Amino acid sequence: MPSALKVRGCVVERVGPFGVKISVGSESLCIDVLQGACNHRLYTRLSGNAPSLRPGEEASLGAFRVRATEAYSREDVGDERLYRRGEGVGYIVEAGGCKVYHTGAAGLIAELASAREERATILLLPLGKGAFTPEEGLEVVRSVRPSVVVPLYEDVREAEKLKLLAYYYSQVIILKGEDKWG
Amino acid sequence: MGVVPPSMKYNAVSVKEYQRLHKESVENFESFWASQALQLKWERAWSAAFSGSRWFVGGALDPYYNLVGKHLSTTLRDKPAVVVEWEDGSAEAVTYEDLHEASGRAARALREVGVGAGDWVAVIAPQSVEATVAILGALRAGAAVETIFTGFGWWEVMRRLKRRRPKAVVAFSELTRRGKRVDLLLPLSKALERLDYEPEVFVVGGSSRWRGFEELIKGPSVKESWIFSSESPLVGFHAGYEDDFRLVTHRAGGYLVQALAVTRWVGLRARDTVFCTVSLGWITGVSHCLIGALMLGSTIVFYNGAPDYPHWGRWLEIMDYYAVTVFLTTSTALRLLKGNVRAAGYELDALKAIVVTGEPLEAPLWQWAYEELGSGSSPMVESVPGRTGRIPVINTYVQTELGTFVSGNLVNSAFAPLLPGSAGLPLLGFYLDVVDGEGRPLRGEPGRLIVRTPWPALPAEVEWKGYYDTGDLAVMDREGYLSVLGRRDGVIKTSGYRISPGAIEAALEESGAAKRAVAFGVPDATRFEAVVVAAEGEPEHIRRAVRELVGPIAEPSLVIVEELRGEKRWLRQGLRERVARGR
Repeated sequence: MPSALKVRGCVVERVGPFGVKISVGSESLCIDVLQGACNHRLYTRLSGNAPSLRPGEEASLGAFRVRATEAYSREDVGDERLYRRGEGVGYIVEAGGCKVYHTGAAGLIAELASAREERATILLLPLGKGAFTPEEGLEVVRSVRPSVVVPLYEDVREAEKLKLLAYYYSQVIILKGEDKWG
Repeated sequence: MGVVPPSMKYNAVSVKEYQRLHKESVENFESFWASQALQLKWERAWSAAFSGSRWFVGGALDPYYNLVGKHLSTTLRDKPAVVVEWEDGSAEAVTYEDLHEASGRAARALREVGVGAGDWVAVIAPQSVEATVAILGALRAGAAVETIFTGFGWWEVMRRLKRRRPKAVVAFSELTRRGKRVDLLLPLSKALERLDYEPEVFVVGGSSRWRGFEELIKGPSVKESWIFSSESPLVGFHAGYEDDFRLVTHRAGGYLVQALAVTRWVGLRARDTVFCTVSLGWITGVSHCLIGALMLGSTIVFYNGAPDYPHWGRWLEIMDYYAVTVFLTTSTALRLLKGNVRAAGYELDALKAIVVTGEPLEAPLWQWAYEELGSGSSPMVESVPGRTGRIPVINTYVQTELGTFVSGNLVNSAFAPLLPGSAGLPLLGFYLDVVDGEGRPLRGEPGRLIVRTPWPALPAEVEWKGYYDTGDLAVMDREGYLSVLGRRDGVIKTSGYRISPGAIEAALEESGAAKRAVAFGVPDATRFEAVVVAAEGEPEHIRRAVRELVGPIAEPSLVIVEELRGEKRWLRQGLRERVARGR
């Protein structure tokens, strides 16, 4: 299983089931990583003192230009997962020539439908409890159409299922990582 | 094992219907291939499809546009073109747009060092992004490319460079195999030192002596790419003959027409991800794994490392985690997998075809691949649950001179039933026949495998004289299924590679490792044939000399110490029979 993926100068590694480290040269940005060394950190859960941006906010973190996107569950369709509007966030990270889109834990929200215009290089897609099901993941892949999809997962079977559903639309690459919380 | 009909989800046809289509294609081979040529974009139309050993005479096309350029105005622009996994688990993906940018830079750098139309660029590199960029850069600059297998020893590399005289060489400084560093600079230096001219050298991984690969891709990108006449050289190889390796040069027009058509027929499409284990130094690696796959807009997955490191499941893991849809490999590789790995524990449901090449694929091995690798975890509509096989395993016949696969089954076209143990039926447009010494067709018994009509990738070195003798021994059954048995001459087939016994002998004799040497192949359960060398000298010294001079693939499994008298041809034959008798 590949452990790190380099696309357009960005190296993406999984840290824990839902954490990810994006490196450009010697600089790194970690999203949802609890432990380990990183130059910059962001979290997709808007709570307490965890560093994060609000949807719509932008920031430059060293080599990384970050834009926060909406990530929430849709109550109107009975989606009762983790995040209500204002509780979660996704990120679009640009560095060098790559654009990484981390959707955050979300449902199939309207904002995803327009994400295709972003021309994301890598889509980081959290799967599992509180995040997308593989079937929803397929819808996200079809909306975003990234060059590469990297599932973030606790149970590899969900990543495999997403692969079988979505490989027709985008290149899915399942990265190794610790699948349990550190 | 009987014939296995393709699932009805393909364009399945009966053998009879396929025979009709095939007959039509070879009876009108010029118009058949002319119609295939329309799949390419031509800058200037050809005046004759075939005339005087040349195809698409008078035509001109931009090879780069037909490989990559045409995808840039489509959604394939952002699709990964090449994904490489290295032995340490790190992976890299480049999109078609990335390849466009990098190859444009390489083209400019190559032009700046004087590379242009009519020149050759040698690429001595493993399957990698860098090799792909170098090849595409050379084509954009107007040069033809010879790829040289990284497993060759310095002497063999030197002789290839001497014959082809490339103006630039792109090489790797090292590789990692089973966690250990393999130095490629030393053999490269030895080869280059013995040339009577100095090519421009670019080295991936750095070297104090030559330019780094970074210099090839640091400048601005060219916007345009070179238009080749249909008859210009495009790619070159060396093919093993009894006396030595010889040049094989494929011309732009015909080669590209054939590479596109055949790669599509055997199973690749834009939506596919192909995992190819055949090195870029060999015809399949270039024609199907790279050029054909790029022309179709597929994603190519390369693995750069040992197949058994850290365990034999490495290739299956790659197919699982990269959602591979087509597995292109050799019979030798399948034989090694069969003895060492089970598919259980790997999710291979995305796989839709296994294409095998290199040497005969015996029926039990075919069955193993079909049931073990091809069953998947969820059965298809028509298949029975369990490990009963559900995707086609296609065996093919290929030869450097022929340019592409010429027999097999057409997954993406008229798909006739599979006959396990055979190399399938002659592909459309290729008139293969098995004949006796007088040229009379033979069915059901071994004979000479010949080609009766010219094929588009007819090499520049072959003057068409009514038929072409492949040098292989084969059996064709009444329906046309081909079983290739091996070489009729002394050429050694090992692990899918065609090794010249004359080249091994010359390396030993010219280097002084042996006063006289004779090399030949003997049957081998895993690699089809193993190399045996008879010479006067110390066996370990001979073994080491072959490994260093020609390469590890030619390393003899047995060295017979013997004084050699008489003609080599008869010596080879006599010794081969002796080894076969176990004496």
